[in-house]
Amino acid sequence: MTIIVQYTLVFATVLALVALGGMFAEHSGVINLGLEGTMVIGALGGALAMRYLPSTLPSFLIVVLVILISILCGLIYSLLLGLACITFKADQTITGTALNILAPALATVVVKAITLNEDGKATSQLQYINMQENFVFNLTKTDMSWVIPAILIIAGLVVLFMAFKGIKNISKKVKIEFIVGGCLTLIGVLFAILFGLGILPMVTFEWALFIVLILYALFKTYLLVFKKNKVKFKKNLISAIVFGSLAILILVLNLTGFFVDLTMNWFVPLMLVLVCISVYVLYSTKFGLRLLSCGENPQAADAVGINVNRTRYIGVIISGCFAGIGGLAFIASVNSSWTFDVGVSGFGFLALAVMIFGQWKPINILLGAVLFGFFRAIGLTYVNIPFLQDMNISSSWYSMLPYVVCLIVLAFTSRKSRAPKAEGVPYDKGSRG
Amino acid sequence: MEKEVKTPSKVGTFFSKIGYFFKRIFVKKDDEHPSYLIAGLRKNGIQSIIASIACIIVGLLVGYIVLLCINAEGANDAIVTIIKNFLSYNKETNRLKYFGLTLANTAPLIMTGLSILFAYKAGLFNIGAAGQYTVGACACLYAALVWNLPWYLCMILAIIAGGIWGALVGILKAFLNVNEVISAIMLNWIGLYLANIIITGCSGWDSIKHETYTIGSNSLIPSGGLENVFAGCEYITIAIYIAIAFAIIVFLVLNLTTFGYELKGTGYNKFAARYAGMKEKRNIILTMVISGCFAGLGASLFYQTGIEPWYAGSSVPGMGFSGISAAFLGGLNPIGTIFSSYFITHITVAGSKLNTEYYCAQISDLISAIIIYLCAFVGFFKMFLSKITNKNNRIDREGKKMSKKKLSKMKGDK
Repeated sequence: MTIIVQYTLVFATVLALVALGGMFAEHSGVINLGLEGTMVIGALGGALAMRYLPSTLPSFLIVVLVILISILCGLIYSLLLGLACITFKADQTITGTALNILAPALATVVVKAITLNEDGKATSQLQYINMQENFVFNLTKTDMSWVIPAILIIAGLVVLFMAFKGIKNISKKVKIEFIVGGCLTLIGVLFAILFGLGILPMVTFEWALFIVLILYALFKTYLLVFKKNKVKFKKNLISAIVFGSLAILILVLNLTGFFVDLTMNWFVPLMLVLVCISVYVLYSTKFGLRLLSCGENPQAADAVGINVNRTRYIGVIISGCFAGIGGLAFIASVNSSWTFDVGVSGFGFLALAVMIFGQWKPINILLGAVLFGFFRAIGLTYVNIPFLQDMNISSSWYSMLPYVVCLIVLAFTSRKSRAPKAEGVPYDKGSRG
Repeated sequence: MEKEVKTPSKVGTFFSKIGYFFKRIFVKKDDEHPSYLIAGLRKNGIQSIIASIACIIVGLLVGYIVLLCINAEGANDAIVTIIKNFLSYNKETNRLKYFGLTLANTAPLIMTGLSILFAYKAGLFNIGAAGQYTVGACACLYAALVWNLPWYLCMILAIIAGGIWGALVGILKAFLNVNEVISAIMLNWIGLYLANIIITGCSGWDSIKHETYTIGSNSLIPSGGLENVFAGCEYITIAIYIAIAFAIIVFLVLNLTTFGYELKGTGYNKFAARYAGMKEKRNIILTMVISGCFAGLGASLFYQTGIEPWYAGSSVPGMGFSGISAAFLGGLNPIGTIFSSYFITHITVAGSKLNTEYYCAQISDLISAIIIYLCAFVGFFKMFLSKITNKNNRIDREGKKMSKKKLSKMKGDK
């Protein structure tokens, strides 16, 4: 059971990351079919970084550096798509496909050249055995105490910042804000000192997660009860219920000792943070709304002074960065070596399907990714499930499963597709929108 | 007498005509009749050929740079080997034999190229050619190994299997609005796993070598005397004739029949096509079926020559994806596809001849991938060619010059 959850998390993370990338590109109006290839290049960059970075560096630094290099590789590779599709108005499908074919060939040539030089024998397999461990951690042994003071301090500072905004005409509200913000920050600092001195017991990952979730649910309940905002009432209610029940679920799982054997990788929390950031950026910032408008009606966007091509470039670049991390997550979260001539076995396209399934919305994409990740995980771990093992059928059937599910899901969801209206069409100033 | 008088004048006019012809290549007669070079450059077909050649040259150049980066000493030899392929052999018989091998590999590529071209003309991007190819391979190998059917029946089964796989994409697209690229990719993987399940489970599977047994002689496509022409190359068969024949048929269907016109119409503007009374959904499905049939036939033309057995690998065979390069490098013209397929096979086969101490065979894949990427720029390149050769443009420019002169004169007057 644990192993299924573990693999589901791995694949869901990869799919969610890449699908988010695809989402940004499509909202800007460019269909990035080259995600698969971008993943391969990101993975290649990450694998090379893991091979050549000195293993004496601290674990945290290694993780950050490798991820940054993957992002850089994905970014550069996605510029190829941007150059052809935005500047030269080429067909996006052909360019994306060309990039998909180019990436494994390039990766194989590079890896073979390296293995030939270093080992004297050309293989397309690249080893990075000692470095991959840095990406993995065990939940119950990881010290996450810093999360609680960090959240408290950040929340306190945010409230203080809001108070400073209204400092010109001090009202009762601003005074309360000052007091609350100051208290939160102080409590955060106090907690940090207590944890630092070892007075409070170490908080491990799963308890930290529980505390964060329950705090968020309580915050939402507070909004629900005391701030009678009718517009956001339903939204607050739903999030309070969802996060509350998630917190209770994690508490129950904690008490039953479910998390003891579970190893996680750093990409999972990274992915969750990126999903939250995506929701915020896409719907609540100037840039996000401009991005959306370029995918829906670029002529209108241009008319109000948005630089369509620039926005589209940014969309494509973001998708390249996400795909780069996704590729790294795909090769580094389970394996300690990767054979580059097989690419990433269609995950870029599965991610596009997840994106369509999620109707181009970050939260729905996350849910879709978990669903597809689960089916993929079954394909790999069916040996551990007694009743599936008893059926005694070829492993190929299980490998086929995610693709079949994907096709069925697409058949049901594509009809009412709410794709960005202008996606796939090169922006032409002269054409009528 | 008359003849003697006339001949010199005839010769004279002939030479002056030739002289005039060469002069006219570069010099325009008047604004209505530009020089032949410019007129030629304006023609779509010639633009496509120039664009394709430019793609090839740039692709090879990038390949050469990659070779230089890997190992500077052997790069010259390596690029010469890739360009020369079978010509690098000294013996005449060897040359012929490997020319035959290259041709035998070209035939299936022409078919997958046609598969992609045909769908693209109708506005669909059939990236599923790889999956249709895989399923076709599975069908013909199963028929040949287990039922031991004659070659033409195996071939028909492969065509049917490919057609069904293509039809699935078409039906999903037409009735459920599923993006054909993504559904085709999913079907590629499903087809691959299905083919592996069926073939590894049948009696023709050699579980020790992890490949299929060689297929029986009555299931092999007959060589039709080509074996003797190509100095005993055992793989060259009438497959190459079949492929070329299909290329010509596709050319005729697309250019001379109502059906071809409807397909192209749907491709250009599906709303206009629907308005004109064309059955859009039927056309989508039919296109995908035919496209799938071509890919299935391609698989039959490859596996029924005995070049390679089925390996049950973990990735979809690359022939379908190479078809994309063949179709676009050929300028989306069936006849052009024949030549571009030959070129791509030429460099791919040559890639396996590279010195493995320094280089790997995937360099050729890299070159052809770069070529496909460059093909995306063809539209822009053509526009550029038309722009610099466009007559109206030049008149405009002259007009502008005139107006500037006039303006300066007017200013001078004032």
